[in-house]
Amino acid sequence: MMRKYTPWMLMLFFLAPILLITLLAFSGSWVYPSILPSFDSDRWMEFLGSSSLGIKPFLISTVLAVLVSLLSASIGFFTSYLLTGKARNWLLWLCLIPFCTAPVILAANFQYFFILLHLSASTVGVIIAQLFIGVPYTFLLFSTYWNEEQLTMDTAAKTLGATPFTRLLRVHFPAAKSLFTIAVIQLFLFSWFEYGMTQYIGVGQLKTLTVEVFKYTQEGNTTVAALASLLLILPPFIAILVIRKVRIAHA
Amino acid sequence: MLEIKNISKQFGDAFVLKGIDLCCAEGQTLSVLGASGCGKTTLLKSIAGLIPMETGSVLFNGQDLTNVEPEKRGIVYLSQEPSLFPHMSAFDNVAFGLKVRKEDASSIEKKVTEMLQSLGLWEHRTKKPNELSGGQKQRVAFGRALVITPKVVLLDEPFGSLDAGTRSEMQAFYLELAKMYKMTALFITHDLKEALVTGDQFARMEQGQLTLFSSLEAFAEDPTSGVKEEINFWNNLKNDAQ
Repeated sequence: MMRKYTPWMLMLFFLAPILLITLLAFSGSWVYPSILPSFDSDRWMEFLGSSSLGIKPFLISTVLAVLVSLLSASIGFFTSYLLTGKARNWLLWLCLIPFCTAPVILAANFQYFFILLHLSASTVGVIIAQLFIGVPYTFLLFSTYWNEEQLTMDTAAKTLGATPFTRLLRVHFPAAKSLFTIAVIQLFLFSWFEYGMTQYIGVGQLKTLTVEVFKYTQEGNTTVAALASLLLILPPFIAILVIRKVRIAHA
Repeated sequence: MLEIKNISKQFGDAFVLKGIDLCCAEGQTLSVLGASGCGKTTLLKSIAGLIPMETGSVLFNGQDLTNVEPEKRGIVYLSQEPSLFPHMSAFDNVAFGLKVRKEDASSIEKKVTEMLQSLGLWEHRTKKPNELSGGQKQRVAFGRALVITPKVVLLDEPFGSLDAGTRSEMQAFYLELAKMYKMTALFITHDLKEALVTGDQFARMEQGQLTLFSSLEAFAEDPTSGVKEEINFWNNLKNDAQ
């Protein structure tokens, strides 16, 4: 009996917050003793119609997350391939440092240099700051990819006449496509939900969707916060579907 | 002709290769017999330019290849594992070297088709490596190497990971292929029978030193080759049975 209902209960457990957010996003007022809130389309139209409320932060977050994820995955993949020997071991060690500190502490350390370089309060500054987490992560991830099998494949391609660039492009990159896709998705989600570092380096000037959701929540603007949250959870859903597809294709 | 002169290689304080000299005539296979850890793989990788040498030179028909990059040497290295590219079909794997050389599409199509037919793999051309058997994978690896008509093929125990039956089949297949493509090859193995079957010339490697034999008879006569021991073993077995 219990076994039969467990999947449903789990599904309800995970879906309940999303259902509540959806309900709040479409609600006007919700006063006792009403069981359901009244539907208010005005604030919904206002949210979608106003570029500063939802759509603009959504676009900023999308551009930021796409750039951070693609740049991090590419730099991490190429450096993990090109660096060998002692340099690689040193970098592997250095790459652990960002994960020993919280992103916001890392940002606090960077801020002095970012102000000097006029990168503070800019999109480029936030991208560079996020790369300091993203690149070490992908470097560590892809370092495990270059095992004996991959190196033997590289040797084979080399003696067949392929240059390092050709080997990366035609041999290794297609072979590592699944891992690369998963790395990109994970980094996209990291950048998408990043708050502390973005706020610190962006000095409140860079209004990403995550930053805005926090702001709306603090303001007690429940409907707008719920609407923005709905947009915020859209990419993770798509990411789950893509990861599932990649895993099925890889199996 | 492939000429190797005075190759030495050191890892830390240990000399893995100690002034190796060898010659292999064009279209011939030099079988090098040696136990694990005697420096066979290091020798092949040095010849291919995959690892730097302390001293020595690599010449092919008088042309010095010592300082030529491995990509441009025209010396193909085949290891125990076929190392096929997993995302490519058998056809694309064989075509790889030709595509890298930017040959035109019709020429690639013709050469790869001919190669796959001669390897008996035409019906498997669309299969990915994970759909091929161990022997078929190794055939594709041979095809991928030979289609670019390399100067020399270096074979590092290429049948080492195959079962006994497939290994025998592949040895016979190698002989056919070597004859058909007039392959100049260095075939490294620790299997005496394999060395005898595949080689035109014979050498033995021990502790970083190589002994080249002038003929099969000279190789068989040498007490370190193990040929006599092998003959004695089978003779004793025959006598015991009688």
